[in-house]
Amino acid sequence: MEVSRLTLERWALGDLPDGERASLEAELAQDAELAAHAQRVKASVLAAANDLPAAPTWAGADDGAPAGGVVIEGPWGARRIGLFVAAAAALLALGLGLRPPPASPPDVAFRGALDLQVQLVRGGNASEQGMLITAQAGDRLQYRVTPGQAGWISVFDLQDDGVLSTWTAPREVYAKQTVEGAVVLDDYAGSERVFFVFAAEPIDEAAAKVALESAFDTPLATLEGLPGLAGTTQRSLLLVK
Amino acid sequence: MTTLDFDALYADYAPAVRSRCRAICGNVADADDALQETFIRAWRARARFDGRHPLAWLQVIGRNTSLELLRKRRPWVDDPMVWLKAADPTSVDPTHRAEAGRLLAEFAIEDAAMLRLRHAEGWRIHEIAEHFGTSQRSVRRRLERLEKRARALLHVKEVA
Repeated sequence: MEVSRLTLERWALGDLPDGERASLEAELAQDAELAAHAQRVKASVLAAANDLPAAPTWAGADDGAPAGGVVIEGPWGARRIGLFVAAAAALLALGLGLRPPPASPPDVAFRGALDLQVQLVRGGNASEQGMLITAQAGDRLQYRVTPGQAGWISVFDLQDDGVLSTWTAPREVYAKQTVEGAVVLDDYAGSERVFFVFAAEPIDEAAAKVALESAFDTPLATLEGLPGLAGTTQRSLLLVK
Repeated sequence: MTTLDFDALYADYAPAVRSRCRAICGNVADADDALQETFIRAWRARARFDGRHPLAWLQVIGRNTSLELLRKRRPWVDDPMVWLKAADPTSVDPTHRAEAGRLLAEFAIEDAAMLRLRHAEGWRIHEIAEHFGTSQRSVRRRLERLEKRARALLHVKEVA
């Protein structure tokens, strides 16, 4: 019998409505293994209730300043010019190398199927960007992509000379898991379109190139998505130098 | 929601959120930082909360906060066997300890957390899937891949 951990936690907290509690306890009475597991969850929750830290001070917590808990930092050190994709980590952190830190609080609401946040870092200063970005060689473009469902994220860059490259290889993600990446822009002088592709199956560079074959004569300015990739959700931005 | 509402929310649900933060972070200090940050983020996002399923809402924020903290602090660096809850970390062969640290450093943060939840905390597959918002099949596949690479260190844990 599978009972969600959330249900067991609510049971441990006494938060289940009477009907659900009675139903769960009837199941526990019939399944010793589940009952033992439920007791472990309960013990964990009750142990966590001991010496519980005081609640944060809500007043003043709206200013977006670090809350005294996680101070996000990111290991944004020297990066080679060219392509750099950091699956990781540290960009969440928008801290190191991104002074001043963003004023907006962390986003916990996922507004759509594919949430995208982009920053441009120049001379140590980060600025939030829209979908049309004027950039120059040496700028660092940082992005955070968050799908609403589980699937695969890929990020591709298409130069206006037709050269396609992969910025983030297909990466499997959980629902609402954020994928971060960063690229130090090279000295390519033309325009570039960056495609953020979310799909149920991985979309690799070969598939992206096939998709682009049908759009060879479409200007980058109007090519807002890779055509012909059924079932994908896409966002894109235009880089102009 | 008012500050009083949030005081009540904290009183009601902080133990469950803290329990999960501990499970992921692997130590009390980091878990308490994650707990505080979780509720601060929830407070800031209160306008977008529809009032339904508060614990589920908080646990999603707590998961993301804990993973961010894990990514920053990488608590296994000091002793990966302690982080993985080896029964007797001091008796572990230093070679295996170093190997465990190297493997964990190579794993994606979510994968390291998944491995810990499964092998150190005894979470069930469906619970891990629920926590990460993915399918059980995906969790099994990921764990199989991780366990294949980490077989030596998991063996160490078992016999310790």
